[in-house]
Amino acid sequence: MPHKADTVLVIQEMNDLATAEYVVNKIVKANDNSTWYKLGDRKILISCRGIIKAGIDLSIIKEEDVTTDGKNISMVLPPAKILSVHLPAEDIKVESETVDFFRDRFSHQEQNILMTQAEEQIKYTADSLGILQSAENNAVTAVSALLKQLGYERINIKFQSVSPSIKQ
Amino acid sequence: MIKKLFSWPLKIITTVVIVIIGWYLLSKFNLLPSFSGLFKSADVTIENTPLLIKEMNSISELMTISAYDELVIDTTKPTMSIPNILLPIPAPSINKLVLIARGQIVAGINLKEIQPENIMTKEDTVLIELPPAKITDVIINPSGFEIFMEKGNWSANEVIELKKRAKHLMMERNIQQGLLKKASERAAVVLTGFLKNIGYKNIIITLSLNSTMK
Repeated sequence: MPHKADTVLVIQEMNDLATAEYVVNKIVKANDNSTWYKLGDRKILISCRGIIKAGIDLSIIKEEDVTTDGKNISMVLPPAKILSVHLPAEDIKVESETVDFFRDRFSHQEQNILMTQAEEQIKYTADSLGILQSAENNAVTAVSALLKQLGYERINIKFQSVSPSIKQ
Repeated sequence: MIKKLFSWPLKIITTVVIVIIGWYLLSKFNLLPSFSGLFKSADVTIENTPLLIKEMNSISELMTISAYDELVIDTTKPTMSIPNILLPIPAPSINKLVLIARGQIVAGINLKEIQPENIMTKEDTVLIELPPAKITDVIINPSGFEIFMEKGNWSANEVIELKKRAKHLMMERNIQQGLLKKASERAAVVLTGFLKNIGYKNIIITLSLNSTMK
């Protein structure tokens, strides 16, 4: 049964336009054989799926970043950043587990600890997958489409000089 | 003679006591591991394996509200264990699983749903009808789940089902607290700011009343 709780912890306002979503697979391998007093090994292989979203922060766009001349518009957008990394629980699957006679199987909590490490690895390598470049390319398309609907005909979009992406 | 009988055991006990006290003192200065550290399980570290990109999608989600939430959820099931079966009147015991879930719910609007007929412009005036806000993500990662109590045997599927229920409850609770309405209102604020920056002075944004779930 769920426990009642009446309030949400924190609500935060956002200004992010997510323009790229990558779905990735990762295999998690672990071997527990380093504790000297425990006889035997145990190994586990887990597969998981991660969903990474990237985009731009619209609140960074200032008036001075936009130049209009009739139906022409030039705009400077902020660089793309990773917005979220999600590992859905339903896509985490133990593919193989080998446990020697004197050892116990990996408990659910132990598997969770291994998956937390996988989550950190995915967050750390997310921006090396090319998603930031995809997000910027897609941001040009998304913003151009909106500006065309507003009646602009010649649209020129550039990005601010690259700053290190923010790791979540 | 009695002295000779007890001299060797006494020497051994004295030696052991001296070693224990010496080890304790040296471990206080970090020159040797502590007794509890000697019998501490080594951390298990996963290998650094590569990511395989399966899909690359182009999206256009304006995320305007994020709610951080936490809840506790549990489930029970009866089970017959051997001690219960041996009772004069066999009775099932109760297995229990309690999870703490901490997550983030993100809501916003999909800009791709804005059609040309939803936008009207005249000189420095613009009128936009926004599509309904939706929950774009309910993110509860492995670091957000904690198994508080696991009594009895629980299969992987049973644990996953409980985690899915936690995710669904978190989403429903936030919708009931008006998250989608806040997301719509915030979308209007964000777009108003964007349109002002590109030169519009009169901005009218209408919100769809039918906010929906993803």
